[in-house]
Amino acid sequence: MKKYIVIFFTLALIVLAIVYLPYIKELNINPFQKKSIIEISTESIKNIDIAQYNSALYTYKTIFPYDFTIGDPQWGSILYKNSKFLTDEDKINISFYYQCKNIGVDLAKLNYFFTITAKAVAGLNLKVYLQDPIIESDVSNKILTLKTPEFEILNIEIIDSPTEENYPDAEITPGQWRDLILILLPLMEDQIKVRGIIEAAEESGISFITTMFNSFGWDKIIFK
Amino acid sequence: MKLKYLIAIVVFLFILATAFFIFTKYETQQRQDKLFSKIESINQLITAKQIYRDIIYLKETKDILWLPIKNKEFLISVDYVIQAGIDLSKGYKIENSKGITTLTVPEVEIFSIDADDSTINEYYSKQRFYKLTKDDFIKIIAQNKERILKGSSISSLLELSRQNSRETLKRLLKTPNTETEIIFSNSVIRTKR
Repeated sequence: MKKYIVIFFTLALIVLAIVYLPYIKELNINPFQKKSIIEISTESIKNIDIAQYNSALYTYKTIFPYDFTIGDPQWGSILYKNSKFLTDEDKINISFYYQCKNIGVDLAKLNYFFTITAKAVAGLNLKVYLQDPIIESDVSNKILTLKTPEFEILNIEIIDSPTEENYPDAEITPGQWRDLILILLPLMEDQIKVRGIIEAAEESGISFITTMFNSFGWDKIIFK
Repeated sequence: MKLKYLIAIVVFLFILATAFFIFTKYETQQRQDKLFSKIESINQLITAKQIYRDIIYLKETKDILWLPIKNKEFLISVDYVIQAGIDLSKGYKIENSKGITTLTVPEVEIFSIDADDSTINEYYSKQRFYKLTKDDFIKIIAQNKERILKGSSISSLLELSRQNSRETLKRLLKTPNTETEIIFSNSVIRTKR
């Protein structure tokens, strides 16, 4: 008799567990559960009139910190080196080290790296160029002489993409990230310039402006 | 007795084989980067920008035996910049009629929405046994871009861009004895006069 009672209760328990399992899950009785709250409010601040002609785009990828130091600095050694024995490269690396340390990122103790992808756009600031672009216009011979436009990097946008699969996530606060980006942006701009974006923008832009004015009936466009 | 030894040997070999596979197993994950760094030639006339500001609050807790032992929290603001203008690489058309030149260019469009990371303002952040990581805020910032682009004020940005594009092109193409009219169209073909 006892045996049948045990079997009956065991079966009843199994049936109850099957029936109520989904409800138990909803009770959130997981002792290790993770909860998150995200609140976002958005406001439109202002509209801005601009006039810029973009003629070259460069998507550039760097790895922090390796692309911003010279060689592979051994921090433990160079930070304690006598300043008399420091090379120029060491000095640049030490300067970068302290810039990062001041914002709470200690390169000597760093246990992560991350990639930063930037989109750089180069072109012409038309607000400046359009103030007085025509030097001379010879209508009878259809020759137009224009001021040589000065091409420059107009914008560098950091692509906000989550950490790539298999890469370690960086332990950094939002404020530290902003400070780090402010340190890295000028360095990235220099690296992008070396890769020839301004020359490419100039070539593409001059060709486009020439074609455009040719279409308007000017046979020869001279830039001075 | 012999059977016992046989079983012991089989069990020993099984344990040895299992240990060998456990300790020698390794996983290789390979992912190829699809980004090619190169300079591209573009022809974009950017004529209007719109600035948005997001206030973002995040609180994440991890319970240990129902107690919220681990937590991280932050309150930040970040500015987004949306740029609009015309893509002249799609083509343009020039027509002359009764001394007036008409330039037909593509319709204005949104070129980019950039969360300007240099404008991040961290009001406060807290971490207790739980480290804040880059992904905690970058993922939220990236997701918000889509939401902003669906907002109602985008149409006013496009209208402003249309007005500014007209003025900028008129000024750029202003030469003696020419009057240029600007028309926007979704179907333009590049032609030479």
